[in-house]
Amino acid sequence: MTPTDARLVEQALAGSQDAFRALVDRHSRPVLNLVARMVRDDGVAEELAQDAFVKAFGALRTFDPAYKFSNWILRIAHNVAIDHLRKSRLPVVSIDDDSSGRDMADVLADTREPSAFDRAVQGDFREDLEAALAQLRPEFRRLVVMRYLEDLSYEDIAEVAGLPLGTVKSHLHRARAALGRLLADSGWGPGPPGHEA
Amino acid sequence: MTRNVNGEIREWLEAEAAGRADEADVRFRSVSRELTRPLVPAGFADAVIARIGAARAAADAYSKRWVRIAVAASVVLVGGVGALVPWHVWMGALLASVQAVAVGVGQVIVGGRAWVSGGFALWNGLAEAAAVVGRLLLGPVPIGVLALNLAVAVCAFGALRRLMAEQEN
Repeated sequence: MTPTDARLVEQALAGSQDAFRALVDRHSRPVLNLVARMVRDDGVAEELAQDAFVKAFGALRTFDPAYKFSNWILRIAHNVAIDHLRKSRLPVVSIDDDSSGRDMADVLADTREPSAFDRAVQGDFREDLEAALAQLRPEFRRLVVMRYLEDLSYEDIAEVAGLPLGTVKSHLHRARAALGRLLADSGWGPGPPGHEA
Repeated sequence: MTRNVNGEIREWLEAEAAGRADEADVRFRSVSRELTRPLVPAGFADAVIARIGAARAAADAYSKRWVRIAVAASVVLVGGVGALVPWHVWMGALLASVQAVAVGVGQVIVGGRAWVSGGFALWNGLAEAAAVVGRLLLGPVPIGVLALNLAVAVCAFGALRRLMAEQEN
């Protein structure tokens, strides 16, 4: 039977290195995913993810088993990434910066865009979606990653990001709207129906 | 199997535009399946464990007996050397330090006084100049010129308003 996170934490506190290694193995992918999406540099992300686990180990005694370990470690990783971004001040595009001045209705009504069919066949949609996500501000991108890549609930995201539930929902709405505009600008969505990828 | 990506995006954007947040959430989840999940590099857990070991070693360094002995020996050595220096040398150094601080504070006070008095002198000059200009303006000719200017300005403003009202009509 697979031990729970809380049990592994207990064992790690008792001095079991294997228990902490199991926690790292179990949570490294979501931690790395979140940090990598926030800092957009795989090398830096790996180092920051390691930092997060080292910090978690140092603070293991403060972990409250009443909460999810996954949320706790993601929160530490999230704070490590935020600290890094504050220090490096990476350039980002505002989520509200719609240089085309188009709103959602314009995007839906616009049928002048060329077909995306050919590019879709070549698998360009993934690239465009990745590019659109990369253009979001880190504070919005992190929410998209937690919600749609890591399947966290709104409540868990609020706990990890330290935001009120309503703010999480409204920020996700704005992030999706911005992604929609960016994808439409790349030729996706409003073209003639029936295009398959 | 093929996917109608454009159709999925359209459905998502329609739900978004119509304010159906829950549906938009589900639709975008479908679209976001395209996003890649990073692979964890081989040896990631080993690297973490190694860093924890290094951090522990650094933290434990002082707890080693020989490190404690070395630190204690250094303290005793510095204390012993200090004890060999005659007391009047220590007192002389202490008095010199106090004197240096006192001189510094005195210079700051003198500089501050000069700055304040300079400010008052400038203010006095400005006040005198303002008084001279005020006396000149109180004469009948300047008052007349000012009144004339005011009258011309009022007339011009009225004419401008009438002109704008006509244009609006």
